[in-house]
Amino acid sequence: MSTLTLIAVCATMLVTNFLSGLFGMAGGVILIGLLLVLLPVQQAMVLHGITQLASNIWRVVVWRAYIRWDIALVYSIGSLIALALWSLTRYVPDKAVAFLMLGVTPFLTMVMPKNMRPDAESKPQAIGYGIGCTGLILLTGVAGPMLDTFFLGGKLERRQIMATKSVCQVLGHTVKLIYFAGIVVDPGTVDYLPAGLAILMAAIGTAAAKPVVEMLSDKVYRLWANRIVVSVSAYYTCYGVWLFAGPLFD
Amino acid sequence: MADAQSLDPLILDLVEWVAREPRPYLELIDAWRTSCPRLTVWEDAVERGFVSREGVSLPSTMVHVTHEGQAFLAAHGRV
Repeated sequence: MSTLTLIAVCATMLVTNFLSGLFGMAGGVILIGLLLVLLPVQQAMVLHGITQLASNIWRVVVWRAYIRWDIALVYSIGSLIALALWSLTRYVPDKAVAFLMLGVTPFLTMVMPKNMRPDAESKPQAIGYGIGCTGLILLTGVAGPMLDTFFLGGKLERRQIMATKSVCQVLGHTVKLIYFAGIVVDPGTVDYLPAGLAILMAAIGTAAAKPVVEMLSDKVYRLWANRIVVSVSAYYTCYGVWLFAGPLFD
Repeated sequence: MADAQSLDPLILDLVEWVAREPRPYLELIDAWRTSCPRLTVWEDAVERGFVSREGVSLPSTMVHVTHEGQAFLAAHGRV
């Protein structure tokens, strides 16, 4: 990785983690989008996986008393099934597919019929979401919005949701690392300097957001959080379509 | 972001917690602000008029349950 790319990656990490700390969402989605612009798909997935693992492992440690291990265990069966299925094909999405899926994902949960209510305590659903979310992580690098939908269905309390979701995210990103750094035909390498810097930037960005969070009014938060998700998703969808359509006009 | 309906059980918990005794705003935000998933429990409870803030200067701002909040609790058998 060139020095210029390394500086760009560090700046990206800092800004996206600041945003993530501020709004409690969207950081991972923006980060993977920018990494996909800067790096090849495999390298972007590996670097993204390392930073997401670091932040989610920290959450697991902090909230460990509230983890619903029964749900996490069943979900992990789904994750492993997804890894096995993907490993058979060793499919690596090209950037157009990754961007398109990344752009459409937040809207998938909005168009789900109301009567298909997710239930986090249903074992068949936990396996289904394990397969779906892990498959999505291997396609786009993230599955946060879909996972949120699953955990908000059912009767889990707030801390159980955060804790158990973090365990599932650790699983998903571990599967992503195993897949993109080990299983695919041309795996991405783990470059330790960018990985270490990425984790450092994540910590600085998140800490810098804390005082700003205190100043942010609740209404301003809601307005901007929605704007960010819609704008980022729309941009990714358009960029994905453009990447698809570009070769047609060559 | 989750829609308000899916957060109802958590909103009930928050309103019930405030109904037991008025809480300092800073304590409430510290206890209920979450990230990833960002759960807008507090924001939804305020928008739907179940709780209200009293006092302007931040350290002394208190959060109280409203009549709508009491009715919401009663409708769900929480009083």
